[in-house]
Amino acid sequence: MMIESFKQYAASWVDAWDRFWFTPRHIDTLAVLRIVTGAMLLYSHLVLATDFSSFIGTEAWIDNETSARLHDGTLGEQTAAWSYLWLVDNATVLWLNHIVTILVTACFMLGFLTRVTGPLAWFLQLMVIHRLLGSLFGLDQIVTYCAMYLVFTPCGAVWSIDSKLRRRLTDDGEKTLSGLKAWLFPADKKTITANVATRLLQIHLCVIYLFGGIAKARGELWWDGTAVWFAVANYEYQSLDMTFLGRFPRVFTALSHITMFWEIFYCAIIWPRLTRGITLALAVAVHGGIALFLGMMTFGIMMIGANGIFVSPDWIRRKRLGDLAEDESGDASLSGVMTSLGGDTTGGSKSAKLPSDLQHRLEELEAAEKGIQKRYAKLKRREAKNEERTERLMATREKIKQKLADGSLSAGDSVLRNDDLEES
Amino acid sequence: MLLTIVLPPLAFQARGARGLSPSVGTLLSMISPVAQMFYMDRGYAFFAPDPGPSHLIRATSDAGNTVQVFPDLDDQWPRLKYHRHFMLAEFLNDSYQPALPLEVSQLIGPELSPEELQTLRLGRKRYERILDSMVRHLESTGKSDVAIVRLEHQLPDFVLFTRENLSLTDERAYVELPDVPITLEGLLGTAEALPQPDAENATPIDPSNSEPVPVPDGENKTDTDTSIDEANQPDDAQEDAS
Repeated sequence: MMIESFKQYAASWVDAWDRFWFTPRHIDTLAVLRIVTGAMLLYSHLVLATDFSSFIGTEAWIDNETSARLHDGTLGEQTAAWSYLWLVDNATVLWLNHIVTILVTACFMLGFLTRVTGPLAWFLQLMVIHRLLGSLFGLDQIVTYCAMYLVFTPCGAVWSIDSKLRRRLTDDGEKTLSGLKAWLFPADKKTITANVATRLLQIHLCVIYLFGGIAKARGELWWDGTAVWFAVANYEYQSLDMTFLGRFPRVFTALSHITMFWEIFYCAIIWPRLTRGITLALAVAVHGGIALFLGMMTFGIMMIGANGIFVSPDWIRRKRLGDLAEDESGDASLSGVMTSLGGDTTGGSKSAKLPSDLQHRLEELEAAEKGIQKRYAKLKRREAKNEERTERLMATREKIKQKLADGSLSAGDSVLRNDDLEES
Repeated sequence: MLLTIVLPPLAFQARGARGLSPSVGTLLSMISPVAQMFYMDRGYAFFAPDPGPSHLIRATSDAGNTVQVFPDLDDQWPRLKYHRHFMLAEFLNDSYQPALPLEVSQLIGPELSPEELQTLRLGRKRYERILDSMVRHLESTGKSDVAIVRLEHQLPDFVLFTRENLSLTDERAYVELPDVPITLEGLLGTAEALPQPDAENATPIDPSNSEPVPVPDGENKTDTDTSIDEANQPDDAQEDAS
């Protein structure tokens, strides 16, 4: 019995793991995040360009040689964080590199050749941030992580130049793309890649908040509630003077406590639908406050954008496609197979799109069919086990009836207790 | 991938007087290069453990005729550029390691291992290297005789702030952090012996009142977080502006 229930538990756990990671997902949420991340990366690179030589090159605050020494083990532990930027002394070359970085990032934001410009934008960002050691903060972390998870997904499938190019190349859905073109201009459909990237960023956010909360819990001021006061009283951060809060200790101490507990428990309360809304509302409040009052507009916006990863792509899709998205979900509810079909429309008539991507849909159907067969086999196994168990129980019942009839067992006998029955 | 997400911040918290927890350290060593390359070797200690005072750079040049403070909202715009300068000032402060006394080599023995001494020397070298780079940068902008001093902008307690109607920019709240060699006693253990803000210059915000202003100490962090690499650095500073 124990082994059986353990097996069942393990099987259900594996099932849940598979569903969590490998259920195909629409790209809409990631497409929004691509625009937000791309815009923030672009802004960051443009701001850097306004004072470029102060941060990159031989005359920077942290010059090329010092930057290299801070990473190569000469001045501490050696790290794998490497950048070619500290190897280049020529200002023109550095400027050309930065112009390329800006252009590539702009392409990523606009969704132009996203499959190429995405990874490239991420790589160039890594080169910049490793070079900028000493002048980085939370914005650089979150924007780099978002880029990292986005760049291997088909996030250019919607709201992008790529989607327009795809429409043109397929004659608005009349033709089918194959090979490199199909990869370069991805269809707007559910993919496992989108789901894996979404899950990774969701988990990463949970980890960020959990350890952020734990780090706060190690201090004193988040417990006595004065932390928010000391944050708003920090002149160097201040963008709007909120020191009037000093007259309302009950307010700022409550804000401190809420912030700390929200961070610690974010990883638990963000998942249930019941608490997700309030958790995200608090994220907007906390990061909106940081953006407006603590002088970190960029960081605040980016964190709110990253929290958007918990917004269902289907919800965004309904906003984008209206009735068409409803039809898709209707189809999906008819059959488990169809859940992997719904996302293949990029606008326009759905029926017109069907023939053009038939090959792709067939592949999806085959994959879905395999999934269903697997599930069916599992259910059959479970059914067989249940039948076997019922038979055993029936046999035991017959035995007891027989014993009661021939008098070898009386009605109050301890053998008739449940545990004995189980054993028998 | 999941380990790369979880282990770096865990390692940041799993560090004590004896160093990093061996179990976490073993796991961390497996993913460390990837985490470092992908910039995932972070601690996520935003405004933690406690929000602390800001640190600034005061640069004097041209024989003391020009004084600049970094960051400065009037000079650095947009805000992101200002914030990058702010982080540079914090980075210099985080990297600070006092100079060692000349007779430090006499202490090598059970109380101070050669490795510890080497680490301390490396920390000082690192700080001097960063400081020199910053001086050279300012000199490249046409200034001469550049000298950089670290400043701490202390935070007022809310009771005193509201009662006395203080200004956050009260000049008495800016304390110069001198660069003085660590004493032998300090080296052998007590954090109190580390150079503190100059007591004479650190005028209390309210001179008429002896009540101390509770100021979060220098171990506190601002919005920045600490990377594992930085936490491994030899200096005493736990902060990291990167």
